[in-house]
Amino acid sequence: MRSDIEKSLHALGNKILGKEHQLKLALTCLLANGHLLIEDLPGMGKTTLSHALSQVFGLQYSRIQFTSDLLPSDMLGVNIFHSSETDTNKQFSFRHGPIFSQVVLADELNRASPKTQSALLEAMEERQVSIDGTTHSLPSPFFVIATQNPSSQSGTYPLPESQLDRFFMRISLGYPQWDAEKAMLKQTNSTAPLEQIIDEASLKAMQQEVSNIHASDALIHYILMLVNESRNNGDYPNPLSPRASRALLQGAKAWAFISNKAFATPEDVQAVFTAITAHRLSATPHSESATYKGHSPSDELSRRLLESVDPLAA
Amino acid sequence: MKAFLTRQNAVVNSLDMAITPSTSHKSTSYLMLAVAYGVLLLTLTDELMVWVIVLGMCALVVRVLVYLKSSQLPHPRTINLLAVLSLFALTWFGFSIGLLNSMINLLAVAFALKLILLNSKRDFHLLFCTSLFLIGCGFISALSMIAWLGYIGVLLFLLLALAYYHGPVTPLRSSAKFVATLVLQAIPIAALLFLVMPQLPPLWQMPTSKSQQTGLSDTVTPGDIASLAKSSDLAFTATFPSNDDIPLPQQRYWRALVMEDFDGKTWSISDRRKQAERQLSLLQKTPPLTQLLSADINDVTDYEMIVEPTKQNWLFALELSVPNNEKNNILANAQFDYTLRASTPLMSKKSFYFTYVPNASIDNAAGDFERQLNSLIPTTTNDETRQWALALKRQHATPELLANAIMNYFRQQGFSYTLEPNAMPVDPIDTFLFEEKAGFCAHYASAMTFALRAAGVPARMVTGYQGGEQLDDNVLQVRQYDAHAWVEALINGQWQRYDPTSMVAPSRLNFGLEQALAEFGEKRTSGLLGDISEGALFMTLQNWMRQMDYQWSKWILGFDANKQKDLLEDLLGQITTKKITAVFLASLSVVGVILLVYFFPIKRQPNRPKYQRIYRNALGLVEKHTGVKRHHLSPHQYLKHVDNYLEGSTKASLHAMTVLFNESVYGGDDNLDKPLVTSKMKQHFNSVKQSLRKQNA
Repeated sequence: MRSDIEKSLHALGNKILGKEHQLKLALTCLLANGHLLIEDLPGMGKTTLSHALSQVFGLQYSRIQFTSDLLPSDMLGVNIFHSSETDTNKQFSFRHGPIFSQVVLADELNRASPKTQSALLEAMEERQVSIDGTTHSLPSPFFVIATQNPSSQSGTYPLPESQLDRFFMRISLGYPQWDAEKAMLKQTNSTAPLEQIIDEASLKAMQQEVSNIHASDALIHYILMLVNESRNNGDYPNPLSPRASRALLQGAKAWAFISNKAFATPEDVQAVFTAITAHRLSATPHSESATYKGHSPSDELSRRLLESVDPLAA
Repeated sequence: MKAFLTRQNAVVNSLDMAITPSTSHKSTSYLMLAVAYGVLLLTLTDELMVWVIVLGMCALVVRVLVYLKSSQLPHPRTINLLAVLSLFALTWFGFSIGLLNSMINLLAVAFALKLILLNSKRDFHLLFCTSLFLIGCGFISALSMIAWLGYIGVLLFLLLALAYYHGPVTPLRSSAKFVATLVLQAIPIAALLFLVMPQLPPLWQMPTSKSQQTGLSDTVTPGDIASLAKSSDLAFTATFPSNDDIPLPQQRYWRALVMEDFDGKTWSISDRRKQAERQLSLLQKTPPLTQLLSADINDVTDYEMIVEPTKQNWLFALELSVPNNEKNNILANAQFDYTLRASTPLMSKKSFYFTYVPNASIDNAAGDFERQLNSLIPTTTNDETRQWALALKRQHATPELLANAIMNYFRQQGFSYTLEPNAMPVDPIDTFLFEEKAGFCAHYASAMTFALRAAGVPARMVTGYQGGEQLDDNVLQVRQYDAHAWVEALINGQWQRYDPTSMVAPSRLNFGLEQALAEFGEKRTSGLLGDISEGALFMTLQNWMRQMDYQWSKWILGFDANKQKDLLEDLLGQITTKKITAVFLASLSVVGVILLVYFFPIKRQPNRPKYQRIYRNALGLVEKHTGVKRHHLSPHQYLKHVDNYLEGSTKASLHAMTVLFNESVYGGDDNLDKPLVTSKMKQHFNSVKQSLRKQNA
C-alpha cells in the first residue's frame, strides 16, 4: 500500500474506529471519481466520515440537510439583484449555493422532494449547474456523499432505481464492535480536526493514475460475465447497466491502486463488487431494518451473483 | 436460456410495436401461413368438397384484409356458429365421401376457422403443425415428382414463416438463410435414414375412399373407353430385363377385366362369375394361370410393373403373365378367368413383378358354367343383329369360320374408327352394325361378342390396354388413351382372342392410337392444347418430364425392402445378419452423433495458453487433495482458503504459481515471455505434485 494512502487511512481510522474496510471503500470511491451513498441509522458517523475525508485531502466541505421543503435553489444558489444606491452598475449576480463545494454531504437525501433530489443528481452527473441559462461549473474534484436513513420511511421519497444507479457505491457503516466502541468512548480529543495528508494536486494525480492501472482482457471478460449473468438470469429484477460495468472496472482499478498493484485482478473486482452492485440490483426501497445488523437482501443478491461466475472461466 | 429467449422476444415484440406497428413480424408470418394454406387447399381439390375450399379461401381473404388493416378480426361467436354449421355439413356429406376424405375435410375446415381467429403464439404453432398434416394428406394421392417438389416448396415456405415469427427483428432474407441452413443440415440425415432404415410395411390400412376411380371401369358401355382416350395420364410403367424382351407392339395386350354380362347396352363383370370365383377359392382349387409355369415352357420373361393408383383391386398384365408373388408386397391373385386381383385396392403407386409367358392359351377353366354364362343375350333387343348372326351361322360350318366372317364383315363394309361416334340410344348394336358403321374399339368388341353369342358361340368382352410407348431401351409406358377392348371366343375348348378393331384400323396395334385416328382424319386431342402438344419443343419437354417421373417412381417410390436388399448387397457383398446389424447400428449412430452435434453444442473451451492450463491442472490437484472446491473464488482467495490444508512447501509453490498466473493473465506486460512463464509454471507444478504425493504417502 502506498505510504500516503496508508497514512490517510490510519488517520481516518482514528476517527471512525473498527471500520477499515468501509473507509477503504470510501477512499476507493473518491479515487475512482464517483459519488458515495451511505445508508445508515442516525449517529453512526456518516457526518464524521465525510468531514474527515475532506480534512485529510484538504478539500472544501459543505453540508446540506435535506428536508421536504428544501428547494433546488436553496441547494444550487440563486441570481440576486444588486441594488445598492451608490453602485452604478446595478445587475444580477449569482450567489453560489452550498453545492459549490468539493465535498458535499447531502444528509438524508430521501427526505427531499423528487424535484430537489433530481437537481442534485443532475449536478452529480454533469458536474455543472445551469441556472437562468448560465452554466456554472462545479469545483473539481467534486465528491458527493449522500446519506439515507433506512428506518422510519414515513414522509420520505425513496430514490428511484435510475437515480440510485448514479451513485458509484453504497456502503453502510453499522454499529461498531465492542472494542472499537470502547476505544471511541475513551478518546479525549475526538473533535480535533485532522491534518491534511494529501493535497488537492496529488489527489488529482492519483485519480489519473487509477485510470492508467492496467485491466487485461481476462479481467474485462470477468466483469462482462458478471453483468451478463445478471441480465440473462431471471433471478435479478434489476440487471446491471453498462454504467454499472464501467463502475466495476473503475472500482477494481482504484482498489488495485490502493493495494499498490500495477494491474487489477478479479480479487479487486470482488472486493468492491457488493458495494458497487448491491444498490443497483435491489429493486425495492431499502426498508429492511437488517441493514445495519448484517447483510441486507440486496447484499445477498450481489453475493449470489458473484458466486455464480468463475473468474477463471473468463 | 429460456428466460433469456422470452425476454428477448418480449423486447423484440415491444420494439416491433414501437417502430413498425403496421407491418409487424407477427402479422406477416400469419399471412405467410394463410398463403401456404391456400396453396395446400388448391392441391387437395380431389379430396376436398367445394364448400370447404370456398370456406378456406374466405379465411385467406379475411387474413389478407387483417394484414392490410382494413378489417377487424370477426367475433369468436360468429366463428363458433360457423363451426357448428360446418360440423353438420361434414357429418351430412361424410357418409358419401368416405372416412378418409371426410377426415381431410375436417382438418381443412378446422384450419380455416382457426386461421380466421389466429392471434396467439399457441394458435400459430397449432396451425403450423396442422399444415404439416395437410401436406401429409396431399402425399396420399399425389406421388409424382412435381407434386413432391411443390409440397417441399410449401414446407419450406411454412418453415420460413415459423422462423420469421420467432426470429429477432431482421429482414426476411436472414430468416430464409437460417431456414436454408437448417434444411441443408437435415437433408443428409433424411437421405441416410431413407436408405438404410428397414422398410416396414404400413402399420395401418388406408380406408377405401369412394371418390372417382381412375382408369378402367368394371362396366363398359361402348363410348366409355373413347372418353378415357382423351386422358394422357399414366396407367403403368413396365420394365423389362432388356430391349429384346419387350414384346412386339401387336402382342402388347395388357389384359385387365373380363366382361361376361350384357344387358343390351352395357357390359359388366358378371355377378355369377364373382360368386363362382368365391366358391372355387373356398374349395381351394388352384387357378390354371398359376400352373402355367410348371409346364416346361422356356422363353419366359420376368418384368416389373409400377402401377399408378386406381383405387381398385384389379390388375393388368401382359397376356398371359404369372404373378411373381414372392417379390410382391401386395399379392396379385390369379382368378379362374385368367385375370388378376390385388389383395388390397391400389391407393398409391405400387410395383408388381410378373413372369410373361407368350403363346400360352386360355383354357375353359370353369367348364360348362363358363360356356353357359357366355352364351346369354337379351332376347328383346337388337333383333336385326340376331337375324344376321343366325344367317351367318347357316353359311359357316365351324365357329372359327363364323368368327372370321364377322371380322371380314368389319373390314369389307366400310367401317371407320372414330373417337366421337354418334349416340346410339336404341338397339345400339343394330344401329352400329348396319347404320352408323363408325365407332371406337368398344363398339366393335361389343358388336362382335353379341353376334357370336347370337350365333351360339360362347364369347366375352375383355378390357385392358393395348400398346405402350417405349420410354427407354427396356421400359414401356402405358397411358390411359391406350385403353382397349377386344373379344374372346370359346372355340375348341380354348378362349381365342379376336380384335375386330384391327380389321378397321390395323395401325392401332402397330403404331398406336394417334396414328390410327390420323388415318381417319381425327386427332386425339383437339383445340389449342392439341396444337401445342404437337410442337417439337413440347414433345421434347414432355418426353423429358416422362423420363424424370419414371426415374422418380422407380428409385424413390419403388424403393422397397427388395431394392434396399439389392443396394446393400451391392455395397456389402453377401448379406449376413451380422453385417446388416452392423450397418444399421453404424448408420444409426452416425445419425445420432450428427444430431448430437446439432442439438447439444458442446461447450467449447477457449484455446488457452499452456501456462494457464498447467495452473488449472495444479488447482485440480489441490482441489482433489484438500477436498475444497474453488467455485467462484479468484486465485488469491483460493490460496487463502486452502491455507490450512496445505504444507509449507506446497503452499509456497502454489503461491508462486498464483502470483505468476496473475501477472501473466492480468498484468499489462505486452512482451510476456511465454516460454519462460510456461517452464516456470511446469517447475512449480512438479513440486506441487511431488509434495502432495509425499503428503499422501
